[in-house]
This record gives sequence, structure tokens and C-alpha cells, in this order.
Amino acid sequence: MKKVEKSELRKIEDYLWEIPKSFRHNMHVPAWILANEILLDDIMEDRSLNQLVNVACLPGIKKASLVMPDVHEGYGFPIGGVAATSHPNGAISPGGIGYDINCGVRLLVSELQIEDIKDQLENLVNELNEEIPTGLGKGGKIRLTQEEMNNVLVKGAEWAVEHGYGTQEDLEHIESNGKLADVSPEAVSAMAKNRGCDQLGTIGSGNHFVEVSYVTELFDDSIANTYGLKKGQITVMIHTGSRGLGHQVATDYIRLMMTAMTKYGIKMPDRELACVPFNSPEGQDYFKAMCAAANYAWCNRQLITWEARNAWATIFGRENSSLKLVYDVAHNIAKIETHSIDNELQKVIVHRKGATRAFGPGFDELPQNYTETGQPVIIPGSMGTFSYVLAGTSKSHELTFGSCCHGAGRNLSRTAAKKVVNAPILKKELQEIGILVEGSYRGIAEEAPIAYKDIELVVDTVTASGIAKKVAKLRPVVVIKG
Amino acid sequence: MNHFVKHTADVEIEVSGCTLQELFTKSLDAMCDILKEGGCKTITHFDCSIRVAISANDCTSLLIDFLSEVLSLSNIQKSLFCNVYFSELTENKLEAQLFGIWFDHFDREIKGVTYHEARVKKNDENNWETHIIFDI
Repeated sequence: MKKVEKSELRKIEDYLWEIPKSFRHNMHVPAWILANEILLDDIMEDRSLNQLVNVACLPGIKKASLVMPDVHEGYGFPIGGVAATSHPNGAISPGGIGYDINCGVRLLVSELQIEDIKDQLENLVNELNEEIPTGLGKGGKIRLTQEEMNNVLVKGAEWAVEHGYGTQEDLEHIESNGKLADVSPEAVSAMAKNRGCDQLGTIGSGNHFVEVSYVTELFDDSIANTYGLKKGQITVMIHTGSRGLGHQVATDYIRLMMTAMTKYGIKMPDRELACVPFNSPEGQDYFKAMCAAANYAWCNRQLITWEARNAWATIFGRENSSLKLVYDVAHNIAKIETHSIDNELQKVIVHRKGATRAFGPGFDELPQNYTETGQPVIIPGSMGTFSYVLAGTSKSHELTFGSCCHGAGRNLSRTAAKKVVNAPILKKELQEIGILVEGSYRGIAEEAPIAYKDIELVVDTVTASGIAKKVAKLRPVVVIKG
Repeated sequence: MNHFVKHTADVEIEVSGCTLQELFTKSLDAMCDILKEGGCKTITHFDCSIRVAISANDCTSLLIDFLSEVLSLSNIQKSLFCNVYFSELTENKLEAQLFGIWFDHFDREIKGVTYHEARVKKNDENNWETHIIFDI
């Protein structure tokens, strides 16, 4: 397949590049890359842009296939990809959401300052590690019956709150209130339910983590105040998704769609982009199962929040144990949203694979206290670098279907990272600069800061392009790796 | 022989075999090694056995669907299926008996066995070969 060369890109703005529709005969729309030139040169190194061109071939795709500046090569869709297809007859593609349905991030804030906890960091690592199961095969504390599993799939984070694992206020600060409505538990296979029955409240492995940080810098005092962020304040970030249940839903439906798409006369350049019309029986079944898996993921992050709060109470006492939820965002999901396309409001199916929703002020579905600021957009860095809290803007609706980047983005393969990183030495070096990391040496090497892009460049790109604005910068002090 | 291929986010392998059975067996070996490095090397017995039957439109789908099925069973049974006996294996159908050992936990989580870049074909040396990308 013809590789995308830099000479074939058209610069639209300083931070926006286009691969014209004429690049390949089967593209329905152009492909857009949100990146500054330094990041663009990195992006050209792998096959991300060829994957982006393939996405532009989805039936019913609108305006452009897009990638955020943290993009890297995936399978089917590039990671950091966004595509909106027409509702109700455009394509839905499980590959545009990924195997880890509703992988996402939530940010909690404590009442404590960094000075309050400096002497307790080792105890905190041990307690968080004790409370929160990490790694593959580690079951959680809850084993769901079939009936309770169906309730989790329908109710999402609300199930956790009903069972004492959170508060109503938590629900108000989760994207979609932690529950998508278009669910059918029957659309989720027995094997998927079986895989998920003992995994609630678990992190998993790979790039998943729980991180304790503190606020080092505020860029917008007013928005920071609304989000409840203060300088020096301790925060907790949780990154995980729908675990084996979501992985199985994706596996089941990619397999189904590969056969079904021929029925609809659809041919895609990559099998992993298998898709069907959204309003077809197969498309509806997948969407209902995906919503169920997304609800499971929100319930999972709520359970982990409860575990983190328990650890907090053990170390700092009940009186200092408050961990308030700032926001919870999904970055692997498909949502039905309305966006302005060709000066007309249109309903579309927005696929976000490694991209965060970034709704600006006044848009639907934001918590009441964020309607004037836009939603928090949580951008984790790697384990040794800063993370950012951004705010969504109205420009994101004009440019990126209300989407933003989801992290720093990898630039080294796991194998390459393991070759160049000595994990015990890295762990010690991080400890010397006040960052305690707990996890397997393999995980630490694969997720080392050197394996990721420069988050400052990524965040500068999205803020300079206007799709988000900087609110706060966070520095890690404790990292529990999955 | 299996080779790990450079891939930014995930794990990509290149695998080949003189026969389809060898290709499928080596692909399974590679997946087990990703889940638990060296986990199959020191085994002295099997704890469990399970039968799988899979059909697909073509050989590539058959291989990916087979590995996906074993991955799901590995997660549910918390077992590493180190050995396989194929009672039937054609280009679009297989029946096999898997033999596994129980594990408390694996080294790595494989989220999915992807069809991306997978293409089972015969190479110039008349061996079967393919690439497989595992979503990690």
C-alpha cells in the first residue's frame, strides 16, 4: 500500500495538515492531522497515517478522518483517531473503538497538600497496592451473579453507587453520568460475561495505572477553582477500562462483522476496520453490547475509586479521606452526538479511539457546575512526567467533533523500550526525584517515560490549535502500574 | 521460528511453519509466551483439557479466531494452554484438544488478537507464514 509522504500533505493551519481525498481512490473524505511540525515528523515514522487514510474509507464518514497529536500506529484505526459517520445509516466499526471499550481516565482531588503526605508516600504505595488488584488474572473482591452482571451492564456506575461504592455527586461528574442508555445485556455473550464476572475493581495491566500527583501550576485560576483544583493539592488519577468483558465484546463483534459486511456490499482496506451500517441488526447489536461494556468500565472505575478512598482512609484517617471526583472521561468509545457539519447540525456516530471528548461551554451533557467552563479533559503523561488538566472549548466542536488528545502517545515499541531501559535503575532514579513506582520490572520498562512523546509538545499543540485550554499541571509522586 | 516485529504500541510477531499445523502450533506457543514468558517450558503435567471447534471463511480468519478462542479460555480458566492436538485442521475448519496448566496470574494482558496485517499464505520456500498483532 502506498505510504503517505510529507510532500503529499497540505498545511491548512500551523497545527493542521491534510491528506487530500485524491490521495487514494477509495477515500470518501480527506484525512486531517492535528500536530505541530516536530510531532508530524515523528508521526511520519510509523504507519499511523496510512491507517488514517483507511479510516477515511468508512461508509458514511463525514468531513474528515482525524488524528490527534498523540497519534501512534494501532491496528485498523490509529490510536488517537476520530471519525464521525452519518446517523443512522453510516458505518459503525468496532475497530474504531478498540478492544478496551471505554478505557478512560478519572481524576479525584483530596483536601491534602503535598506537604501533608510527603512522609507517608511509602505507606500510601503499599496500601494502594493492597487495596487495588493489578495485573492479569487478579480477580477483584466482587464476584457477580448472572443477574447482578446484567444490572451492572444496564446501570453502569449507578450500580456501584446503589451498592454503597460511591455517591450521587460522583455520578454527576462522569461522562454520560456513567451510564449509556442504549443497552441490551442479551447482546453481550456468555463468554464476555464470564470473563468480567470477577474483574470489577481491578486495573489490569499494560498502560493502566493509579497515580497520586500534586498540582504544580495553575494556568486558569477561574476554571481551576470551578474544577476544585488548588496549587499543591494532592490528586489521584485512575486509568483503566472494561477489562476482559470489553475485550470479548470487541472480539465477538469484529468476527461477526467481517462476515456480515459482505451482505451490505462493504469492502474495507483492512479487516480490522470491519463495519456494518449502524441501523442494521448487526450494527444495533454491537452498539448495545458496546454501551453495556462502557457501563461496565464506568462501574469498574467507580469500584477502584472506592478502593482508593479506603486506602486513603487507612493512611490519613476518615476525617482526611475525602477524594472528590473532578471528572471521568472515556477515550475508547462511540457516541451519538450532534455536530455542525457544512453549516448544518447533523447527528453523527462519533468513534473515538484513543481520543477524549472535549465539550466546550454550554454543550449538552455537562455537569451543572461545568456548563460555563467546558468539561475537564484529563491528559495523563507517562509515569515520570507531568500530566495536564485541560478544559474543552467550542473550537473542538468546529474542528474535531468535540474531541482532544488522550495522553502523550507512544513513540517507542514495547520491545525497543525494554532494550533501552533498565527497569531497576529507572525505578531508583524516579525514587530519587520523589516518584515511587510499584509494578513489574517488565511493565516499568515498557511504560518508561522514554517510550512516550513529549507531553508538553502534545498539550501545546492542542491548546495552540484552540480545541482545549490549559487549566492545571500535575506532577506524579506515586504510581501503581497495572 | 517466531520473530518479534517492531510495532509502536502492541506486540507483532512473524511466524512460519512447514505445515498449517506447525503454523497454528507455533502461533499458539508465541501467544502463551506473551502471556507468561517461559511459562510452558518447565511444565511437568497438565491440569486441564478442553475441546475447541472453529470454522471460518478463510485460513487467516481461522487462525485469528482460534487464537482468540484460546485467549478467552485462558482468561476464564486462568490456564496457559501449552499444548494442542488437532484432530482436524483444514484451511477453514479445525477441531482440537487443548491441554493447559493453571496459573495465578499472567505477565501480560492481551486485549485482543487482531486481523490487522494477518495474512496466512505460502512463501517462496513453500512454508506457511503470517504476521499477527496482539493488542496489549
